Amino acid sequence: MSGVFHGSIPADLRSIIYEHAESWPDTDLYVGCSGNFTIERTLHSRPGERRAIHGNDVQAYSSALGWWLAGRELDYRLKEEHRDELAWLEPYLATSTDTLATLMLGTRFLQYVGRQGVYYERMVRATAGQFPTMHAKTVAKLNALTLRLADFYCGDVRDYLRDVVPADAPVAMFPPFYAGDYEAQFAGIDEFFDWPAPSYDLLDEDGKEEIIGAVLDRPNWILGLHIARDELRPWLRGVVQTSNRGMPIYVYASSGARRVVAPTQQVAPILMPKIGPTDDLGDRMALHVLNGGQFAAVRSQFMSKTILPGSPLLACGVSVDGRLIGAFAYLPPKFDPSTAYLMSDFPVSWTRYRRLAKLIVMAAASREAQLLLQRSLSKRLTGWSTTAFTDRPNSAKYGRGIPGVKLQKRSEPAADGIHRYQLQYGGPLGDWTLAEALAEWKRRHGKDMR
Amino acid sequence: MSDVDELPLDPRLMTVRPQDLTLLEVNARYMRKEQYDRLVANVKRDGCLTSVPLVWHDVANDRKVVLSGNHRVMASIDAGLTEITVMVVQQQLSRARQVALQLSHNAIAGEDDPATLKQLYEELDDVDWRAYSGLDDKQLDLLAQVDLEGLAEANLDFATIQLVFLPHELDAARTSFDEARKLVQADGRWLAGYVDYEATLDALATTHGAHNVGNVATALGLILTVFERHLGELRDGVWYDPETGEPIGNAHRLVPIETVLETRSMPADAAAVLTRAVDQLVRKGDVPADQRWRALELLAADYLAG
Repeated sequence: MSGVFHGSIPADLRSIIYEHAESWPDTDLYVGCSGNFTIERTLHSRPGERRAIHGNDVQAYSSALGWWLAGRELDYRLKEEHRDELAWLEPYLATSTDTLATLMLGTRFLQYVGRQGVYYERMVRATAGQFPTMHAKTVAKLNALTLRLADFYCGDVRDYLRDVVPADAPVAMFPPFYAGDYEAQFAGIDEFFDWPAPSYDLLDEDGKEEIIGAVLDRPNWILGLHIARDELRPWLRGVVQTSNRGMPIYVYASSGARRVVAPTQQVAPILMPKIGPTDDLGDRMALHVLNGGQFAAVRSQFMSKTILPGSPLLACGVSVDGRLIGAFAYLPPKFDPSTAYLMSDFPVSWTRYRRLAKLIVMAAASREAQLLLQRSLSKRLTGWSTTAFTDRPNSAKYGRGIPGVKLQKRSEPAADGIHRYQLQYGGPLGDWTLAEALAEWKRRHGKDMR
Repeated sequence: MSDVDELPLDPRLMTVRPQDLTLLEVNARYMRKEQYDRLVANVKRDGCLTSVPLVWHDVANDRKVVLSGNHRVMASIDAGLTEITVMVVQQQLSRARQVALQLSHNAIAGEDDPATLKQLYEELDDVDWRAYSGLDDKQLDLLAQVDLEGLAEANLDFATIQLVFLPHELDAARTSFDEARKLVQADGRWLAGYVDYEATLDALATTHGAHNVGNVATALGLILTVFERHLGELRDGVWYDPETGEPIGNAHRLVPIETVLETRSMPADAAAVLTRAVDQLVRKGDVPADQRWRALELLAADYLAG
């Protein structure tokens, strides 16, 4: 859970901001929606940077940081109703630096305070026990920071742009237009602390337009958005997407270099021959744990390109008599804690066995797969589930002929926007060994060949 | 090489429906999703294929087999093209010559001089053309190096413990443990018999369910708490016979004091009384200083003697 903000401005975006700042004039720099002050830290990291930097935000955590960086006192106090519960924090709220360190640590543990349950109680107990050390370390980190702000504006970014930022000053912003998570992350500070919170309106579509308009209206600016805006096309300076499942961020700016960062899956070979188009299936089936690169490679080769690749918890190659026949990958349980989520499963496509895909599913549900899964989570797992996207009301792969598999839910249309049906299938985990699975599959499906 | 393989190729350009082509069954070439998506986007933008796939007309089976350019053909279908231009070889080809053609198209490719590649790429002063090129600023190492100050709170200090369950065969166990050491980053590793694995998982599952906790370390902690409450049960029938009140087996074996007292701790006032008594017994020489537990034996024997 470290660095809750780090996802919002990834390293590649920081590079772009860093580069753009070079062309801006020698005047104060203004940042809107400072968040974790990544933009400020990026600007500050430029060697010889002497331009004063101003920040802005409305959230409890960011405002504390902003005020502290601007050398202002922090007026954050434990709420009366939580004073007893968190009395042990009082010694760590003596100075502004102490208070800020406590609030930073609070982003980790306040979510557990007051919650019933042995896990939450344990986390609070552990935090209270280690607080002297954790607090001292955090204070030391703050004291080591060289970044300082010329000023910090705690309030609505629209007011900031209108009333505070000079018309000709450079502005950098990556506004959190998907604000839900952003606010939830720091709910703990609002819940337990009184602080001089500003009043502001939640951003609706008009509000977003107003921000974009107010930024565009300046000689030097850079703006990161999660959506491509046709009307801003002339100012598109960069598109950054760091993973296939990540949202692209569009960087618009008044000037500067054009930059593109596209996702790249790292791949590694699996040095095992694959079953050939004329090969017969042997009798010894085995699983082989694959690393991320090996799974990405075999998935690229055999899985539909309409499916976005994700990062599995456990990926395995399936072989028979030393020849790879397919692969599968699991994610941790999504809903039911004892049911692992089968994220993908596919056979080597050029085999003459039409129903090899079912054998991969059966291997994925085997006792050997169960052992590997249980080992990776140290938990008992008794079932698997998966989602199939198809234009038919039943899946050819999971639909019939695999013992115990059931269609649990059928939704129409599918959420992928491509297929008609979204089908939820599931079955038991560990009801058969690999050897039993292979024998059963041969009996039921092994004669169906091209 | 057979005679037919000696003949030069007789390719000619043809316009075909991409759906009518037979794709290679076995293909060593693959594309990552992001590359394939880029190819489809480029084909869509161009409205045609800008390089020509090589196709073999298998007259005997009336198929047009793609020898090179499988992904381009698939992308043209996904991009919605209704026809594409391909280079078709009409003559008879042995299987060996088909495979050799296929592999040579994959393998005989030029190299890029990185400096010139960067130079040409930097000419593309438009984000879309840069994306179209299939390269990016990160791969080409064109992004600025930023070294920003860290801003993060300290984390809870914790230790990672890995339980390693091994089969009982010694050699296999040694190998497995060495493997586990390589695979798992942990501050400590506990070794256990594989026969105990299922029981451990069941105990964890029961604890997860009973306390509704998902966290494995917390569940393990609860198991240890239950264990603490049942320390006395480790005594009966193991080293102590409750029927006869006599020790089982070697009378001099060492047994954990917790299994006698059923606790690892006691209230401080009681502990103070006991400590005074033990200290006195040691001082008087009734109990050797290195065997302070003899004090308990002495006191208990006195008590039993009435």
